[in-house]
Amino acid sequence: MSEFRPPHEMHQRRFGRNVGVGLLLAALIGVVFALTVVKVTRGDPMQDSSWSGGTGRGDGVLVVCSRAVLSLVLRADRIWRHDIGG
Amino acid sequence: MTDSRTFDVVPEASFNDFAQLLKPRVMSLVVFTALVGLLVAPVHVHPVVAVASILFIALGAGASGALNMWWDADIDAVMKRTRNRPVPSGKVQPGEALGLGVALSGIAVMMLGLASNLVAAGLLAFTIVFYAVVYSMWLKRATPQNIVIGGAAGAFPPMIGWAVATGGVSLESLLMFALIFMWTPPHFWALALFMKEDYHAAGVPMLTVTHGRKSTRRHIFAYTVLLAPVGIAAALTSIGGPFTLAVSIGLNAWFLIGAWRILQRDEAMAEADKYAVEKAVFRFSLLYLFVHFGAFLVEAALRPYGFGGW
Repeated sequence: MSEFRPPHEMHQRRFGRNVGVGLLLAALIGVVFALTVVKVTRGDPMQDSSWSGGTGRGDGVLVVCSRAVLSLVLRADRIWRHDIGG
Repeated sequence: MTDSRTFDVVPEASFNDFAQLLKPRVMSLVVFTALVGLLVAPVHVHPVVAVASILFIALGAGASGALNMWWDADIDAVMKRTRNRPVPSGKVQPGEALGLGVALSGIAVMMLGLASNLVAAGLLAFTIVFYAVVYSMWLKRATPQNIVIGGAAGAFPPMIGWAVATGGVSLESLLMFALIFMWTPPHFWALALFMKEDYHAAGVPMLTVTHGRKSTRRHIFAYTVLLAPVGIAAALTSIGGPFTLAVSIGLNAWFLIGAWRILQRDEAMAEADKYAVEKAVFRFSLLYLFVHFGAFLVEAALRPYGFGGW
């Protein structure tokens, strides 16, 4: 059975910084979500049509970027668990 | 027992130190001028798109600030005013500043492209490269006209705001660019006259050092003379109107009087009253830009009610 461990010294030291980054990321998600709602409800393309020659193929840019960010987060999480989390 | 944690004496960077890398004061000017460029454009922009675009323009400006602080850490360490910046003070490592600058540049340009259009994103990318590479890395240490060229980077935001709305560049947005471009040299040289930074020790060829203070006073006057027609021309375009024209004439006349007074003085007179005129002109130059762009905004706000505009 797992037990509560005292927070790592580094986490205490960097608490403010981590909270700040967390809030910024949350704000970015909020902005992207609001943009998505506006663009979808207005039927806009997700980017300028010149990106995809107006075929809609360029819509993949958002998906590709989201996947890249997600894989980076997952990798960072694995590294963190391995190196610090134990 | 020995304590191996000697690295604890290295100051730990706080969130605020990283925020300082983005030069928040410069960002506030960028936000204001980009917002004006966006709001005075003849195309309506959805408020969410407008807010997001301004945020990403500000982020791009901040990113170029971080790149500038990474590159100029050696200069900043020498000068009193900049000695406590995050990189020279050791709170943030140069690599961290570089990483933050590059990452935020990429995010800002990509997100502005997705939020608005490629023209705006391209202009933002050009601005970041211009400020970080052309100005910081190349011309700042190479020519006493560094302030003039660096001013171009600060002049792009209203053009980017305009491009967010219209997807292009026009006479109006070029004149807004020119207004900040011509305003920057007299603004900074007035500051350089009374701040007396140790540019020589830092290896920055500031006009006050390379050509002397008398020449700097002449340059301030010359650029202020060149600034006036730009402001008045902008007031005569579709973003201006009788109100903006009246404001522009008043502001430019007052700025010209100030620049003339600076020209008529020498160092002995300036020392005697502790650079009172130079300081007053510097303060007024800040007001000049704020009020001039504010006038464009007022004109745009009045237009739907049948007032404003030509």
